[in-house]
Amino acid sequence: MSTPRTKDDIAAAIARDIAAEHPDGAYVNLGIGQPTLVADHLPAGSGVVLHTRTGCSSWAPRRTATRSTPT
Amino acid sequence: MGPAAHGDEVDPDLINAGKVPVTELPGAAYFHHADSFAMMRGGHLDVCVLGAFQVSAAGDLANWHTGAPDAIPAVGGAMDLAIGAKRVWVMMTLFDKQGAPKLVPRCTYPLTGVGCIDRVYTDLGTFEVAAGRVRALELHGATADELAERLAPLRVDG
Repeated sequence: MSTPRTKDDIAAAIARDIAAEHPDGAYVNLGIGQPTLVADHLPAGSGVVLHTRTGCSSWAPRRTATRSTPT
Repeated sequence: MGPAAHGDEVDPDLINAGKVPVTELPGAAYFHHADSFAMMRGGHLDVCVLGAFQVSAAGDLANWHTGAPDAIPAVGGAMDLAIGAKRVWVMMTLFDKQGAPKLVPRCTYPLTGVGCIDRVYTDLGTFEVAAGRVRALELHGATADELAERLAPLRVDG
């Protein structure tokens, strides 16, 4: 793997490494800042349950233009 | 933090601890802040991923205050997570903006948790921290010799 250049590239590459290591079905808390990027790289169907200290489980990656808007 | 949420897709009431708008998956559950801390402190989380200013060979974590006069210390729930989660992984760059190692023999910043870190994921490699020893699991874009020189006096086993 070549060394990523931008700060965002570096963070995304680390996040991918970490996302690949989570055991299926694990309960996982992602700390604020860069660790939340891990949510964007979790494989579909991994069953990983994301917990946030503010009080929600099973949240998903950040909203993008292509995601539905349940509200 | 990467791409911002778009327009009316953002629900300001649905955010993570970093105040980033997120979405729900089927089965999503909401609970009181106190219950959330009970999950953390009660050892019910399998993995926690935290950022860090420094991680020591003993697995100590420093991630809330650098002591800089203009810095605003913010520990949030990091102490509870660092001690409460079954496994605690760190995501950080291996060196700071001045080029100083963040994986160190002993932390010089105030600690968040003692002996709590299992793994450190960085831009230059992944490291396992156990029993006072650091072992490189995988390296990216740097040789073991280069890293050994930059991380000295920290010893890294191959």
